[in-house]
Amino acid sequence: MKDQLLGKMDLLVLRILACGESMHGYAIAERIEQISNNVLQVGEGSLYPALHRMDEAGWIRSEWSPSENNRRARYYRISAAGRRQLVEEETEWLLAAEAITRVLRLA
Amino acid sequence: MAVFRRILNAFRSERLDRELEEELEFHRQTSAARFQDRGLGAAEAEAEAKRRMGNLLVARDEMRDARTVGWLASSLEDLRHGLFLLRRDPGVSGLIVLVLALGIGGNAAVFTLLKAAFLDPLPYSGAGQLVNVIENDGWIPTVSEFLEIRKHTRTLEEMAFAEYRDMQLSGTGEPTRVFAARVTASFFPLLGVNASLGRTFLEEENRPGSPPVVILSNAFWRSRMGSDPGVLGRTLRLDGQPAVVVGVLPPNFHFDYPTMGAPEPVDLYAPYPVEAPVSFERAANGQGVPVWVMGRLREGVTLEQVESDLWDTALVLARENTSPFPGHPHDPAMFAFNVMTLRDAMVGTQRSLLWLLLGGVAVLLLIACANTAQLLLARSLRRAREIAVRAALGASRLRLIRQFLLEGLVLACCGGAAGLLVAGWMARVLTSLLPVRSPLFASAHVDLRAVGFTLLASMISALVFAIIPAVKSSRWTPGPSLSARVATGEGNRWRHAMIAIEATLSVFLLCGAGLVAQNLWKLIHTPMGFNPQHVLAMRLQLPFGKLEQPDPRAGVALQQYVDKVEAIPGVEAAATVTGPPLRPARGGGPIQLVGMSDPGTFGWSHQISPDYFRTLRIPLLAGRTFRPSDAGRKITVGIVNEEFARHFGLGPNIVGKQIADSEGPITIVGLVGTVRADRLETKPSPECYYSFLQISWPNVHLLVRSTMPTAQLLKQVKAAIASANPDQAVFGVQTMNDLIADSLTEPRFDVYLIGAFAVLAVAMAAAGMYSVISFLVSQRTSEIAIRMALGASRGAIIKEVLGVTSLWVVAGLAGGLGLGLAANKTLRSLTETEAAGSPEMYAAVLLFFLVVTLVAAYLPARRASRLDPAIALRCE
Repeated sequence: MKDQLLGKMDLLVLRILACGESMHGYAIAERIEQISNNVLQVGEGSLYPALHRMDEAGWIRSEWSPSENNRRARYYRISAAGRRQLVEEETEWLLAAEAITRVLRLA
Repeated sequence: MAVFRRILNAFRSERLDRELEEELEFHRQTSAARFQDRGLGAAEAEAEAKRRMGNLLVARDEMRDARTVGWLASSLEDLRHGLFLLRRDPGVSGLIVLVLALGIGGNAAVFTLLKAAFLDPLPYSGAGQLVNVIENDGWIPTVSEFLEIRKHTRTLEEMAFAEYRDMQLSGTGEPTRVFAARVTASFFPLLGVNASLGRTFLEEENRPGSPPVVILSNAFWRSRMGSDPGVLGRTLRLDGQPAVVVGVLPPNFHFDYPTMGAPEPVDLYAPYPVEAPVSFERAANGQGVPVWVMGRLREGVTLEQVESDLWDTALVLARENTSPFPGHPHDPAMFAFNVMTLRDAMVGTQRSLLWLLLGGVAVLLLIACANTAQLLLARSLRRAREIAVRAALGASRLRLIRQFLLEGLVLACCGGAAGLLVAGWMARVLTSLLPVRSPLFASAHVDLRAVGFTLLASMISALVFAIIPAVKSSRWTPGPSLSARVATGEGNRWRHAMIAIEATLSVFLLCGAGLVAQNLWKLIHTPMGFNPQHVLAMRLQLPFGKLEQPDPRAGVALQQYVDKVEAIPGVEAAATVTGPPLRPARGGGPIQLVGMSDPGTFGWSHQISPDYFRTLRIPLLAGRTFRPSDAGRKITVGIVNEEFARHFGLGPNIVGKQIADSEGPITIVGLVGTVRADRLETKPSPECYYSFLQISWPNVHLLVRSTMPTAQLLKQVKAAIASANPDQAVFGVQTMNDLIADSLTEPRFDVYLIGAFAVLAVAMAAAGMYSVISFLVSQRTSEIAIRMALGASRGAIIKEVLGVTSLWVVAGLAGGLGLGLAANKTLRSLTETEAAGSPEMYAAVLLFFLVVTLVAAYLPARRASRLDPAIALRCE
């Protein structure tokens, strides 16, 4: 289900980072896949542009630090603006999801 | 913040790319490590990680876009591409940069001159409030007028004047001449300058009879006094009188503008002995000492208010002073004064020179731009395939235009930078070539404003020369552009238009050059009314105290000198005169004849010794010349010139008539031929000569006619004068022929200047035509070959090749001629040219340009006509 998460990439990334840990791109992708039981496959082609876009928008902050295998990696952390954005997108998604569920059930 | 970082990122795309790659590489390696954990072999894990990630080309672009300002990054990319292309074609690029450097550098140089003249702060405190008072008709006020203005003015709060003169410094070896300014005590405070050693003048030192003092200029103190710090209190002998040094001026101070009466730097300053003038009347008639009057505006006063204030003064003066001619009261206009800002006075007539220079360099830059556009057009044609490929890959038209403009900008900025490097040097060279000394221009320097101007000039020229190639070349048609054969005929209209513009501009400059050349020719061939051969001129300044008044002793002293000089064997004749031909007369005023209703005229007056006419071989037409017996304290006899007689409608009958004068009538005893009295350009005017034994100034020119070699003659003349008075300095020695050449300096400079501009313009236009015709020929090689193969004659080919081009050139010629005729009046006023351009001159200009055109067109046309059709067609 690689392509379905197009458009909701921001929401997922922000939600993962909202746990407070700072993570590199691979870890974020891995976490999304694990939690979704491998239903959601994160493509690098959309993950990294999204990370860079959000970094420029100020929702997340990036920083180069040494990683577990001693190579330099870019770590991302959520910012206050990112948390506000997360609340907004989360609410929007839940409303939409609920609406779609109702339609599917009642139609 | 984020925006700044994005702009910054545009300039460090390499680092950005490196980071992107590093991040993705980290991802791939981590991914590979995970696959290995799950049991894959190292190589398999690597391969799987690579496969999973794909090549991410689009993602990379998206990331880059997120990080930078898109248009900026792509512009920089274009710029890099442009630089690469320019480097690939170093010959053409170098040529373009060189031509632009000359064009932009020339403009920057003239800008620094303009800046020095109009923008740079003057080295005087509160210079914006300083004004110069002049008379209505371009004269300057006299001391008595200065006193009247100072008494009546309500708008000027402080006033001062300066008067420049030669003085004799004696007592140490051979008497030498120094250039001095005599000023009021208020002069230094007005300009806001203090002495660096000692003091400036005191108010009471302007009173006649106070002990003479002197202030040295810094240059004089250094060169003549050996920078002696103990110079204060030393006594110098000036004009035979002891004067005590009371001060030395700071090194950066100078107030010696040729436009304000100081032809050379001032060596020393002395206080002017201001006394009650002999008669205000005589002063107003131009017989007083003219001085350069300056004042400081009161707070909030405008120039118009000062002028109306001065007009009130003129009305008072006209009322208070009785006219020498009964029944003709004074016209207040006679006492009218004008004011102009000090800066305007300093720039003075040099203003027209600036406009001339600016016009010249601007036209040259335009031609340089047209040529650059030609070269870029030719190059863009060779790049047609590259353009087509880029367009096919999705580059928008705007992006292509931007690419061309950016390339133009790179060229223009290189040219501008090179131009800026030489601008300061060019400004100095221009200043040194000028026919006049100009302290204002000498202070010209390149500063931030000049850099800004150069940048602006570069950008404008980039726009001018790159816009046509840009618009032209970005329009592409897929079929022919992508095929190997280049479409022919494209852009030729623009190429021709450019030729026409170049022809217009260079013919325009040629017309200007022709006009001033014709003027110079006319001036050289103007009959002068005297014979300058074998006449040596020099200046004498009698060491008398009161130089501002005619002194009866002067004539007697001069008579002694003339007698001694005439006694030298080999000297044919010698005479003194206050204003020899081509040097300004010393005095003049309104002249009326006794018993004639004619309202009179303005006449110049000269005081001469009896042999003056014989020395210069000016013909005596009627009556007699002066005799030693024409002496006394009052002017009783005069000699007039032909122009004078013509003005009053009289021929030789003028002899015997009388000139009205406040001190009694003056009988006209002789009539002489008219000489070109002032400059060569000016029309002859009525002139009177008076005997130096009746009225004489102590400042004269001595003329000696002899066939002896100059050096030998000068030595003997100096010895003869020294035998009469050992304190007498002789200076300003020149042959009469040199004096004439001197008076032609400015017209000759105009010819050189405009001529140089025109020659450069024609050379560039010729180069442009040569390159265009060559280009057209190479473009049409196969067509010409086919025509030849089909039997076309050489003549027919040449006609074919040159046909359209010559039409455009002729159009350009007509345009240039029209422009030249239209600007005729402006140019004549800028160069003070009397001659209107003759049809022959314009014909010569056209012929010259046509010949140049033919030469430029000949080589490529001949190449076309010598084409071997077989070889040419095989090459296709």
